[in-house]
Amino acid sequence: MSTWHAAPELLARYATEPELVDNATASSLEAHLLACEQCRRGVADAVEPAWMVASWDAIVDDVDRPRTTMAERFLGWFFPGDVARVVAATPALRLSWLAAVVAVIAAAVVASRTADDLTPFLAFAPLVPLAGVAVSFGPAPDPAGEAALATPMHGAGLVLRRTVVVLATSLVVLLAGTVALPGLEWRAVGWVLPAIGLSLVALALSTWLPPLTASVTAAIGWETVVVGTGLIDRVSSGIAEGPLFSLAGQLVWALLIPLALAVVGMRQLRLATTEAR
Amino acid sequence: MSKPILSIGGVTKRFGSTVALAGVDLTAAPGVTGLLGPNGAGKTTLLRIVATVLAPDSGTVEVFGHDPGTADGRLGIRRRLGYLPQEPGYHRGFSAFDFVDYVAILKEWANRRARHDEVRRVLSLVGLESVMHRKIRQLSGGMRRRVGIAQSLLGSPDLLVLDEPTAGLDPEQRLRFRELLSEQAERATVLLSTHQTDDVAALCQRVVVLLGGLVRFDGTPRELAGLADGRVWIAGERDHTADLAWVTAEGRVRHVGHPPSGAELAAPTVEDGYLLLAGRLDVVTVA
Repeated sequence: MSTWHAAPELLARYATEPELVDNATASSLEAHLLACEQCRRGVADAVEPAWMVASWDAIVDDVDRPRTTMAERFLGWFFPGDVARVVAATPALRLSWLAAVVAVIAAAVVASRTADDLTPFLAFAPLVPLAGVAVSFGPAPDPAGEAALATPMHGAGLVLRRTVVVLATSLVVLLAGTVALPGLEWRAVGWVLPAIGLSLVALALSTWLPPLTASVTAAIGWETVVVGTGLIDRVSSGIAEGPLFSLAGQLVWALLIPLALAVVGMRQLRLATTEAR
Repeated sequence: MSKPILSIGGVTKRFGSTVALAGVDLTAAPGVTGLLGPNGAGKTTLLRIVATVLAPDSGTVEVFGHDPGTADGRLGIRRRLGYLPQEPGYHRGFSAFDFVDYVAILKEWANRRARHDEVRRVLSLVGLESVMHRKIRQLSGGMRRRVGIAQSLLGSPDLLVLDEPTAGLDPEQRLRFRELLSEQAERATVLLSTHQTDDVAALCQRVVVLLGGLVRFDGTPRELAGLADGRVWIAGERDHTADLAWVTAEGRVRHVGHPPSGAELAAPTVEDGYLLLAGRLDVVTVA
C-alpha cells in the first residue's frame, strides 16, 4: 500500500479552485483519491460545508433513485409515475411470469394447429388472464405483503388497476397467438369476452373467497361448461363450432361482464382487507 | 390518561372453530401500550383489526373517531397509521430503499423528491443508511426487521401498530429501538405486541395481557409485577414443590409461587407477574 499523499495545498486548490489544476494533475489526483481515505478527508476539510450540503442535495435524488423497470417505464405512459411503480410490482407483470405465459400459449397454438381445430386454444385461452389475476392480488403476492394492506392506496382501486393491466397484457399475448391459429376467422377471437368475463367473475368471487380459491372455482366452472357443451352438442365438429363461442354465447358474456363489475363495485370493501383470505 | 384515540368494545373474531378474540375491550391513548400473551392468545389478530387489515366478527372499533368498517373510515385511519406485521413480506428483488419507497407510494407520497427524502430519513432512524441500496435478500434477519420498522415510521404516523418489533434484533439494536420508540411515543400512540417482558418493563406506560382471546390484565407494568408481590423467593437450592423455579446467573434459584424453606423474599419483576398470570397460579386478575 502506497504511503504517498497529496500535498495539502494541492488538495485545497483542487477543492476550491479546480480551474488552476491542470488536467493531468487532476486526473492523477482523482485516481489517488479513490484509494486514499486520508486525502479524501483533506479535500472534505477544504470545502465549505454549506457548498458540500447543497451539492449533495442537488444530486442525491438522482443517485438514490430506484431503478426503473421496463414494465414501469411502459406503464408510465398510462399512469402517473408513482402509480406506475405500484402497478408494475404486480407479480403477473414480471418477466418470468410473462415468459411462462408465452410458452403456454405457444403450446396451445401448436395443439390447435396439430389438430387443425380452434378448440384447444379457445378452451384454454380464457384461463390465461384468469391465472394472472389470481396471482396478482391479495396480501401474499404484494411486494410489501400485509404492510401494503394497511396503506391508503390499497383497496378496490389498486386491485382494479392491476387487474386491468394484467388483463391487457394477457390479451395482447393471446392476440399474438391467435394470429398463428389455423384458418383465421372471427371465431378465432371468440375467447376475448370469455377471457375478460372470467377474470372479472373471479374478482367478484374473491369478495367472498380467497383469490386463489375464487380463480380455481371460476376455472373449474369454465372447463365444466366447455366440456359439457362439447358433450351435449354432438353434431358439431368441435367445441369451437358449438354454442359456447357462437353469437349467443358471446352475448351471454357481454351481459356477465357488467354484472361482475357491479358485484365488485358493491362489495369493494372486501378487497381492502384480508377478509376471507 | 389523555383522550383515547383507539377504542375497542366487545370485539370477537373466529377462524373456523378457533376463537381468536372472545370479547375484547381496549382503549389506547398517546404513549406506549404493550400487548403480552402466549402464542395463540389473540395478540396478532387484535393488532390486525386495529390496523384495518382484518374485520371483527362483532363488536365496535373506533380509531381517531373513524369506523374502519366504512371506506371513508378505513381511509381516514390508514392515513395516520404505521403498521409492522408479524411477518412482513419482502420482495427479494427490492433493496431496502426500493421497498420503503414502494410503501411510501402506497401511503400517497406522490412527490418523488419529498418521498425519497422521507425514505432516507426513516432508514437513517433505524440505522440502515449505509445499506439502503443493498438487496433485502442480502440483509440479515435483524436488518430486515429494521426495514419493516422503517416503513412503519413513514410520515410520522399518529398510531403505530407493531407486531413483535424486536424479534430478531440483537441487544444493541433493541436498545436503539427503545430509544426510537420513546421519541415516537412523545406524540404518537404506540400499540405493540411482544414476548419480551423486559421490553414491556422498559418501554410501556401500560400493559395488557391477553390470554385465550380475553384481556386478563390491563394496568401499568408496576401493577403487573405487583401481582407477584410476596410470591417470589431466592434460595440456594431448587425446591421441587415450587410452581416455577430456575437457576439465575448468580447461581441461586429463583422461585415463583409458594416459598421454599429458608428462602429470601425477592422483589418481583414484570416477568414474574406475567408468569403467575399466564400460569393462573392463584392470582387475582386486574382488568
